[in-house]
Amino acid sequence: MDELFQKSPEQSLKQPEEASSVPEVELKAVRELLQSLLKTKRAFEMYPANNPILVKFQDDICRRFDDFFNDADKLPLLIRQQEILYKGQNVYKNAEKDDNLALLFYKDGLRDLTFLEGFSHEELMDFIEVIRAKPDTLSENWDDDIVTLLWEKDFAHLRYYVVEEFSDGEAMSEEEAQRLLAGESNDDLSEAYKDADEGKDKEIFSPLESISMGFKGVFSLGEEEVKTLKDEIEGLTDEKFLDEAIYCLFESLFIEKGSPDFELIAGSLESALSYLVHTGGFRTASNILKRFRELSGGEGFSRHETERLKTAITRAGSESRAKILSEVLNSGREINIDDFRQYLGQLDRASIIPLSNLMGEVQDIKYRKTLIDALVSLGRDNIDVLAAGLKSGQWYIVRNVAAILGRIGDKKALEYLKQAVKHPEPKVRREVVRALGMVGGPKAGEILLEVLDDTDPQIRMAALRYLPQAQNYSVLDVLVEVITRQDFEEKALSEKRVFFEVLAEIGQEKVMPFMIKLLKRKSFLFGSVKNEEMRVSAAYGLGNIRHKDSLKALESVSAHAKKGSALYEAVSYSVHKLAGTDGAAQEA
Amino acid sequence: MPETVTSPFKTEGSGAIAKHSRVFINQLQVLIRTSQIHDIGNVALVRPATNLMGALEGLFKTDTEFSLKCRGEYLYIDDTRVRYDIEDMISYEFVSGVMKEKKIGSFNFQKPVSQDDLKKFAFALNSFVTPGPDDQPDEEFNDLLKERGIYSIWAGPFEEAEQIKLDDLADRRKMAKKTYFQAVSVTKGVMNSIKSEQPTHLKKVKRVIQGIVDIILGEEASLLGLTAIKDFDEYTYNHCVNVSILAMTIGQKLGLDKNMLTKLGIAALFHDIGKVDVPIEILNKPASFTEDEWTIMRKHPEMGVKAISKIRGLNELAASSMAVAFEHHIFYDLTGYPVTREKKMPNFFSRIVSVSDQYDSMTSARVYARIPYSPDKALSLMMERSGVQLDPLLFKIFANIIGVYPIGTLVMLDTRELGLVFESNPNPEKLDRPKVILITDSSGKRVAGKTVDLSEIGPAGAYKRSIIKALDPKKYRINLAEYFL
Repeated sequence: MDELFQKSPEQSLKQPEEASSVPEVELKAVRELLQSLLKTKRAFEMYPANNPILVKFQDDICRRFDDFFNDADKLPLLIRQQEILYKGQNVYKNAEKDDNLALLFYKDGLRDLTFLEGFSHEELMDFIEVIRAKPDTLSENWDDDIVTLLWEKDFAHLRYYVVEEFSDGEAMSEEEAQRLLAGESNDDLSEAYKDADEGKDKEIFSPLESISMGFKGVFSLGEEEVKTLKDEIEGLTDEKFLDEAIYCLFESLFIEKGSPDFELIAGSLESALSYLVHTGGFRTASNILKRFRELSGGEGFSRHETERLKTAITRAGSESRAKILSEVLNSGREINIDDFRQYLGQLDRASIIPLSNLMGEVQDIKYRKTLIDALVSLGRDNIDVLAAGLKSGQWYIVRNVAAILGRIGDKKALEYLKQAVKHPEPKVRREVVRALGMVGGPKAGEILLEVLDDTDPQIRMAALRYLPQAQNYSVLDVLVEVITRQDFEEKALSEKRVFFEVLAEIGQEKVMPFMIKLLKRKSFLFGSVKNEEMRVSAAYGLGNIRHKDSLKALESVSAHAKKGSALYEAVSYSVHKLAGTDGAAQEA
Repeated sequence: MPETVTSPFKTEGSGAIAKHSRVFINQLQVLIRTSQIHDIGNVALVRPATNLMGALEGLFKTDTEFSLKCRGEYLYIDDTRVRYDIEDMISYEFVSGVMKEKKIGSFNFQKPVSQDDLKKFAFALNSFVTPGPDDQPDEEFNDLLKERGIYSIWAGPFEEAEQIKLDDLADRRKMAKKTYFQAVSVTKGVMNSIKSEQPTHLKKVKRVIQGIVDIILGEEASLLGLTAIKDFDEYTYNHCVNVSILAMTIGQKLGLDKNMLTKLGIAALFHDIGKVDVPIEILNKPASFTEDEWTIMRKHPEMGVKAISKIRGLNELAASSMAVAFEHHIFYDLTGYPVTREKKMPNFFSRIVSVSDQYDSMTSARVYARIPYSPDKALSLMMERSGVQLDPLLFKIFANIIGVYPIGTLVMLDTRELGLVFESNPNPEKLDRPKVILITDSSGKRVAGKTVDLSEIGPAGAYKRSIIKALDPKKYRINLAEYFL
């Protein structure tokens, strides 16, 4: 037996001769090692894994342990409430309640902690993981302490000594043992001898005697049997246990039909759901919701009970549950995306707003995409609920909701989008414009026209580009009106170009003469640059009109345009475009 | 006065070493067996020797020397007991069997060991005939090894089982007793807090079960002996602890790791948690139940689900406990209670607990059966139920643990000594040769309990002692506590 366990820590305290002989340098090393341990623990709380500062702390504590074991074969620490002793000398002292290494060990009953030579870096990191473990405040499922966690890690080079007050057991043990031992025992066993000799008790063994000839066959396992057991053992996963518990709870739900305890079981299933979401167990979680949905459709439950199950589904999509989702999705934990999708698919319309809000919080794009998909499918029949998200005070939520409305493509969304088109945040307006484009139709076109006054040229151009999809010819007049306005020339060439391209795409032959006229308009002296830009833009626009006259006009300008000039580039581009598109232009 | 709860016994090595140790024993077994049927030059030996070399390399990583020891029923690499998986059980028992048969306590390996050394070693071992009691087998075997030019492997002396027991049995028993009572006390505390709807803390439960796991992984017999005592005051709590111990012992035989054993132990401890809601008058009723009372009793599995639900939200620990509480009366053939809508095979843990629960219930007076069955009678009944009510494979494992002569059985030996069965023989072929605490000498006079192993062979090559009759200790007012506590 390891000597460590035979002496109590109190005994090791009473070793003054050892205490006085500890060199200061050794004490200093231990002190610094403990400080480094504490700092590393804190660093884990402050920095994400692989953060260089955290790595530096980890390296430091590893080095200190290595250095210590260069000269010693063990590091025994005696734990007191406010201090830690090494060979009888204080190496750590802290009277505070928080962040106190001594108290951390002491409160769980640890009194002696001895690291042995060979304590590996892997063990050290495991040890730090143990000391930084915190109660899981969310699920209240904190059944561990330092001692149970140390035990589970099964350290090869760490010994510890624990005290525990099992006061009841102590008393009971003594009393009960005394009583049992005092039990009347028969000293005279001659009767037993007599029975044995007469074979009186023989019958009690008859069933086993019959098999005693071949123990092996009956009691030993064959290859197939071993395999069967091995498969069973491999199946003992946490996930499986949770599935089993869910099965029991659903069976209990039926058993408690009509009883007040129905609520208790329904509540347990809900808490199971929370726990599963919290731990990323979306497959089982979605199965629970699926069952709720099935059961709320009948199965002999009362109306009240059916409503209870529906409430559970609704609550699964609540704000607080979405918060848990956000935590788990941002935790870096591996999540099966298909399971997650299945889970979201089971939520009801109440989850629309919380899920929309969630989109702004989730960092991983693949989860965001899954959320959007889910919202698209949930929102399809609940445009009004979804569109309420456009009123959110957080711009990114408005943006995301707009994107989803666009994806759904329902014209009912237009009246809501119209209100968002003037949102102060450009990112929102850009998304609204895109959504309008995706929804399309004459009404969308009208709203897009309002954007042409936007202060952001990128947004104006985006709105222009979506106009053709609106299939609304009334926009032509507006476009022409804008183009012919005095201030139009002040716009950047890129924007002008888009104006003309879009105008041509929608208006085709109707606007061709106007464009040809502009293309050929010469200017002299003053304003020549502006005029040149109008010509360039008209040239690009004509490239969208598949007509022989448009090609002819472009070719004629091309012959005179200065090579390398913007006009030449534009004309060549459009000529090429028209001539190259299956010859349609010539035929027309 | 505070006390330790952490067991000092190191029962399993960490990660890689544990794995190399298992592979080593496995491959050693293959090599020894293969060399029993082939010549040393045969190609069939190349593979096991190569594999064994691989395992050796792994074990040499931390040191240039290590030893394989056989102490009692267990194998150790250096001082760490090698745990085995259900798959390795056969090779484990084979190797320990060979070492016991040849009366060699350890094999020491020192770097460098060649494949040739290993092959020659296996042949030497197979040809080695254990000398008489006055000679020293290890030294003779070492001479044989040297003769064959092997210096990298040598044998160490064999320790008789009794000698080992004397070393630390007393300590282990003391620790087992303490842990057992702690478990009963903690169970009582938890049950009471559940009953009175007080917040329930499971840390203590976890700690106490971890303590039991440590003992079971070290030496299960002392705790099994305690489960045979049925005269405790408040048997309900003892029953919970007994079922937990029996279940964990089955789990240990199955090779479950310590964390899984803890989970099983906790689930088993709480299997009857639903009974906290059964009126005490019914629970402690001295006569048979009426139909109405049975109806209430049969509700305890579903009440268990509710009780666990009340303790806290669902987590992995609560999940396995809930499954066991709900399913431990659903039989292997899916009959039993509660009657479920969806029929499915009960969880593996539930089936383990079902076996353990049936045994402990049948052998004690206060749970279900008003008149307890003797252990062997209970086991016989369970054998009839195997494959119907009970999982037949788990029953086999259980029968191996309890033995043909279950723990607590009074036996008369051919020496006319009387003894109490204390521990079953792990070798399925020697189930009729358990370990026994002697309570009388051959003249029938009471003696202080000395433990003997019935598989021990005397100088003449015959068994020193054999069972000739089995009896029920209760009939002769033998107080088991006196020997097992």
